[in-house]
Amino acid sequence: MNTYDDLVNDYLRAVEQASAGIPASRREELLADLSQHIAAKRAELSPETEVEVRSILELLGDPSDVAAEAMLDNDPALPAPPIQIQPGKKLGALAWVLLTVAAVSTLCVAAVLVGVFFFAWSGSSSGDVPAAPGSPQIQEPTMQPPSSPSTQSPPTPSTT
Amino acid sequence: MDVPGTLSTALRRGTLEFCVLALMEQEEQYGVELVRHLGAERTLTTSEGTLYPLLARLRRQGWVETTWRESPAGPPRRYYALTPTGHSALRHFRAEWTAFRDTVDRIVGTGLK
Repeated sequence: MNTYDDLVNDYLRAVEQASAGIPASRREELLADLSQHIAAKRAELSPETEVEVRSILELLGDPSDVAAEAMLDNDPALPAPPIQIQPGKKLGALAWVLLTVAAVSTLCVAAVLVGVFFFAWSGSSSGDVPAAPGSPQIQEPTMQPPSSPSTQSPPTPSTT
Repeated sequence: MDVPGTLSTALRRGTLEFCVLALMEQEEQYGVELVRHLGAERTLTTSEGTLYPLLARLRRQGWVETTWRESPAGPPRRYYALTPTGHSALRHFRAEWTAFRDTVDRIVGTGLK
């Protein structure tokens, strides 16, 4: 029994040494996972033999292979993270879109309100007759396009 | 001699974890059984032990969650189950994989007629 424990401990020590490059918390997690696996499989053997215990360790594989797999987590260029980020990113992007839409629409409403107030204020203060301020205002813009329609139209979108 | 090993390692990368997710899609799986099952698939894994870093990665990513349950004999057992994020990751992989496989099959000429 004690000899078999030594076999197991030797194996775990070999994994520990091979995985020296990974963060301690992850190394401990790996060693805990492996020792739980070994304990669970040993519990299935009522009178365990050395061959059976060795077989458990052989199936677990070369300690350096196991460590190498754990080392992959250190590599930022893993295939998984891009997919992992996506669900979160989608939510984040949606939040930003909503925020931008809300901000832009608020600005638009504010601009329209300011314009309406300004127009109402200037309309009420400048002229008492409603038809008088309206007609020159319509006339002025209609006068400009016929004079130079091609040159006048491009600057208007760029200024807005 | 080295090339086949490198190739299978490269092919496994990025696909094996979704095979693991698929195995626990329907119901939670006892970790040791899961590892035993996958460890026997020689085209997918080199050994049982290499699956534990992968399972740990899936736990950290929040794709799987584990529950400890008492065992009738022996130590408590750790059961693995998919989280909602894990389910959506698997769905995403299925769509990506089908398109990927079809393209490779078409170009390499490995598609079934």
